[in-house]
Amino acid sequence: MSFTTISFLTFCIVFFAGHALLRGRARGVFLLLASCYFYGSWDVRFLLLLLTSVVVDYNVGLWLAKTEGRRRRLVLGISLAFNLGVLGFFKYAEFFAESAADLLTRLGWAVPAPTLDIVLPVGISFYTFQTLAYTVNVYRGRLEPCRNLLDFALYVMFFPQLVAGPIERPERLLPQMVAISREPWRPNGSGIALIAIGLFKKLALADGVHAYVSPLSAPDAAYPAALWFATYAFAFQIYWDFSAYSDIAIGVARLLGVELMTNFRAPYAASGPSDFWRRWHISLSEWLRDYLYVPLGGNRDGTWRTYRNLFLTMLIGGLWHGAAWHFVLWGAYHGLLLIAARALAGRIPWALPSWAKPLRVLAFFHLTCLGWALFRAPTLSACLLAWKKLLLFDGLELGPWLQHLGEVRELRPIAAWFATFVAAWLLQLARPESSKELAERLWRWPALPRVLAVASLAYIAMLLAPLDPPDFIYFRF
Amino acid sequence: MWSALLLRGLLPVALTLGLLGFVDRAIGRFEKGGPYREEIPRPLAAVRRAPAASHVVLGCSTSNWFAGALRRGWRLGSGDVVDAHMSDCLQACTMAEARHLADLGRHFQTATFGVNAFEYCEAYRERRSMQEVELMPFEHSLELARVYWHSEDPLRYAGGWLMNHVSTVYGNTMWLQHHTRKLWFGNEGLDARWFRREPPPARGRRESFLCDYAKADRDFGLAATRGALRALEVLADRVQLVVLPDKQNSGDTPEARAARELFAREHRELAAEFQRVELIDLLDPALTQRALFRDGAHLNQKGVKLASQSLAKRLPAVARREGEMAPAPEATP
Repeated sequence: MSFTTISFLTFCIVFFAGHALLRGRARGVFLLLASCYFYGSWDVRFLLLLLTSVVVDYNVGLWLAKTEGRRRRLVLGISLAFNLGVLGFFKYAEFFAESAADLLTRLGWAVPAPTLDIVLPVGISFYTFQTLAYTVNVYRGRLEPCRNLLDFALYVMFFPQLVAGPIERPERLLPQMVAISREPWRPNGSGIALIAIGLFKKLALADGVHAYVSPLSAPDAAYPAALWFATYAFAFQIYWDFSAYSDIAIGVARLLGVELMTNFRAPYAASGPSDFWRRWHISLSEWLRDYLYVPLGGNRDGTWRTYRNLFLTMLIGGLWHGAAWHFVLWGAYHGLLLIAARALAGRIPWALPSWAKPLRVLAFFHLTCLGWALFRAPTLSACLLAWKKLLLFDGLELGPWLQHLGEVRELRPIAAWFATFVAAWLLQLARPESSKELAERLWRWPALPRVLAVASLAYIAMLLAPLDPPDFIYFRF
Repeated sequence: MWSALLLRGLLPVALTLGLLGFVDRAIGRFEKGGPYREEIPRPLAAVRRAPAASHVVLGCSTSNWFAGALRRGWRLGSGDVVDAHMSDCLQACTMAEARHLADLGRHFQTATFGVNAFEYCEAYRERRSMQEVELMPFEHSLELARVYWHSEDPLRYAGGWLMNHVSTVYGNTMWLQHHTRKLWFGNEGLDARWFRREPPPARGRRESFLCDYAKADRDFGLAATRGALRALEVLADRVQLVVLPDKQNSGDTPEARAARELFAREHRELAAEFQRVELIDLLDPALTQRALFRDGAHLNQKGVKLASQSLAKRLPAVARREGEMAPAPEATP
């Protein structure tokens, strides 16, 4: 049940009616049942897997509290082995088996690629990281274990952020889940504005531009200029799509009185790779920093180890997105960008005059776009071909492409979308704020323009929605 | 205190809803709102224009040849049979249309309604929900809920019902987008030619309107047909449920034969639940040939001719005027 479906609207009407009527523990139980229904609507079989994860990590937390000394590491190992084992099996088993078969075949041992046909449970990468954060924090002694199964189940299964984040931290979300059953309901109305912004971004923008990213799947057939256009299109599609999911998740949570973390803050206004990762999928980049980069040693052991840690973190970050080599390549590319920025820091006069800052942002935006081409291309060979064209080894061929667009009568929609990309980029540059901040500002407007703006955004989203909207891109991860 | 609450809270909401309602209505009725919206009043007008008709044809476009076949089979005049079939109007829509006509005070001697396997593929469409909502008298809405309950996603159908009640645009947004794109950009649809140096390789014509009559779809489809038959029994003294062939389950393969047998058996059992429903089975070998279809669901000219003859042979006798029975062309099987 995706956020942009009419089923979700009906689900919300029924859910919020029930939530308003119930009090105390019954309210928490109702939220858990609603979350089970929400998750089960994708594939009820995987609900069992999710509930098992809840029970395992809840008990590991309690066990850690009772255990001392070196045995704590063993107990933590149970949680790590279970969570990463499940994730590894469902998400990576087929990939590694195919890659091994491919490697052996290349080495001369003809091994047929196994066909495992494993179905990926929706949201597994997100909730696995969230439960891992809990057990690791309890292990580190930074968090008291949760002693109520309902509260812990709500922490893992809270439906607004269950399938695509934001990946919340236990110290932030757990107390709020405890409060659901114990404190009065205090909805934050700005959630409505966030939901409307999210619906507009997904249905009107991301799904609208969806048809224009196809050259990245067939770079051999495309004009180089068309490939650049498709790369811009994908850069904005993935931002609008994923940030829309976060906006709606945060908005629905706000209506429940729960505050989720900011996940995006004008990422295309970033002036460098570190800045980008402070703005893009913030909940994941902070998770990778705290649970991977820092334990690897962070920047504590000298320059080369810092570079190694950065590279490994981004490589695993890439693999987290999907079990395919082009995601690994995308992670490696961002790792190299981070290393290059760190290596060049202090050697290049970054203190540019203020008028030149947009140029630096624009230059980095294009580096980000090159990364998105790797992310979107279906195979490694398509990645290489796309890069060859994007780096203009075949020239740009702008004139012939524009002439071709005129002939096939597609010049006007392409021009309209290009103007939209430019406007969206300038907007991020001029107001580098998150949707949360935008919604709060909108919610402070006088009543009539506020209601009018929110209702119009939702209405326009409905008008422009496609017949069968594509799923949110991050559902695949 | 109450006046302040009204001014601050409810008034802006009421004003906004009023404004959006006005815009919605203006857009929804723009150029009458497109083919699917225009399709709704057409059969109703046909029924209004035929006050003396005693036979009515309902269903979707697969039933569009029934009226002529009935007139020929029963040797009736053009005013005796009214063709009230509606494009895209599947079983739940037929149920709504039958309830609507009954609520208008119409009653017929016979109601003829056809279904084929394609109509059993559960595919939610906003425009179909629009037809159901616009036709179904509000007091019979629970009849729709009874059908929606059997769908794979009842919340979606319930949401569609709600949205079509609050918006005239929701059910027709696809047509509006298509129309607007054509109007502003001059191109009907984006294809893969815009980025390619060479035209994309030609793909074979994709067969449309196919359905494999899968179990998951049948539960919903049969519930909808049952609902339609209930409504048709209110509308007419006798109901003729015509079981029609489709392309996917035509041909002489064991799979096609098995699918046809299952389809016919389930409809025989369904018809047996009703006192005044007669089943007319057109799944005979002469009509289940793939060459007789123009797409997955619709018969071509030759197919219609053969099916009309076949239907005429199977028609039960009906009263031409009160007290007079027309002879059935041949014995009813």
